[in-house]
Amino acid sequence: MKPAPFDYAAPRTLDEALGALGQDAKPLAGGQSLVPLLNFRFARPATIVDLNGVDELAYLRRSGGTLWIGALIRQATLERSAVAAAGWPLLTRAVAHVAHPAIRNRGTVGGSVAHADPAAELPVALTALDARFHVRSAARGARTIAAGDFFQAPLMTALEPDELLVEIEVPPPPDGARAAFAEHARTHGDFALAGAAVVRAGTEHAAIALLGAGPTPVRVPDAERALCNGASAAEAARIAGAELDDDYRRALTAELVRRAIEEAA
Amino acid sequence: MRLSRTIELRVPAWAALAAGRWGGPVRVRAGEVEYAGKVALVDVDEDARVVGAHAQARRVGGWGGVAARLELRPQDERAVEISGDVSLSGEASEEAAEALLGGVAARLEDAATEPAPDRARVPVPRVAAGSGGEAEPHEPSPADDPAYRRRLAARAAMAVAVGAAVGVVGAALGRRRS
Repeated sequence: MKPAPFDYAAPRTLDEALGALGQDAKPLAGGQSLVPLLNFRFARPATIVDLNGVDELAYLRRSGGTLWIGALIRQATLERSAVAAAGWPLLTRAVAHVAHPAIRNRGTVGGSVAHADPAAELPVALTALDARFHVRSAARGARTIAAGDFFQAPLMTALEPDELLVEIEVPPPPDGARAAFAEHARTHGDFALAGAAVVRAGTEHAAIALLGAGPTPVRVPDAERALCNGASAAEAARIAGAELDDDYRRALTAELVRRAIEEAA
Repeated sequence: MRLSRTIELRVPAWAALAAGRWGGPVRVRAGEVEYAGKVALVDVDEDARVVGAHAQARRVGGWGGVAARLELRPQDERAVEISGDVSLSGEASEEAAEALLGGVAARLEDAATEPAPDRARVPVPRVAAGSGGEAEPHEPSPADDPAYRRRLAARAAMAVAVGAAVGVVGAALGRRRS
């Protein structure tokens, strides 16, 4: 099918982009999720705001120990980044699981986050890393939303219709932290059935975020506390998996969490 | 293969590197062979004052490619060291790797002398879908020309007519044989 008719705006600056957003407008970045939705007519926005000309949103920068990701940075760029690989290897590992290289060449980090698919890898990794999302609107200015508050339901975020995700702030992980990402998909590049992102710094810090375990990326504080209190990987994984009702998904998630914890040990 | 070279810019090195305007198409020559590709800024590490880049080029009219993960470091006020791991594939030679690095250096030198484009002055294209072509500004398209559209329609009609005629003749021959 072809999309329903829409108006098309191609702003060149962030201010123009914010001005073009409104009640029935959708921002288009990489288009890897939005365009199929348009083609199937699941989404029928009155206006598409094409952000691909807004160069000021395409950057990946480490400054003051924090990683700043412009919303328009391509997933392939994040995958190639030596800065991310050195300081935030969880992001490098997670993004390598996103679909196929052709999709990562076009797909953006901000687009994946704003789309908020519960089976997407980057929202889970960013949740485990306690990322903060900087959003802006022409009418209400800027605000910052923590990862835990940003994702609200499948394909729903705290973004208002006139707001645009402009920047992702990823704080430095604790000293000596190690990270791992594990997921299971039926076929390579498909949406994962389950997955886990783990950041661990001895018994000082543990962060476990689950993929496909709920309507949004899910943190499991009970399992994180157990890990900090010296529980084994298998025990922490069992606690993490206990959140799920379905037997198969519970077993699968627990196994992926165990593998990720052991890899990050 | 690890390669490196140092170049001198006419402007302050760090500002030119971090601005990233040097990214874009690269066309280089290694001996008789031409390679075409692009270089793109990947990340900026303000803490370590290093810029990461990715460059790649494919042999024009042949099999072979060269790709590089590069680090660009300002050495002093205006000097930049470009270094990185270069991988070759197919018929690409080491000469191609050197040429790619040279192409990146040339882009950096060119961008450091060109004035920055004023993005704010670029008009915002706004196109109403389904409204034909009244939106501005848009690329001229052959489909906008009514004569071109008529020629296209005539060719399509001719193709349909020939197809139908072949079908009718085929059916008639088939009936005769049976």
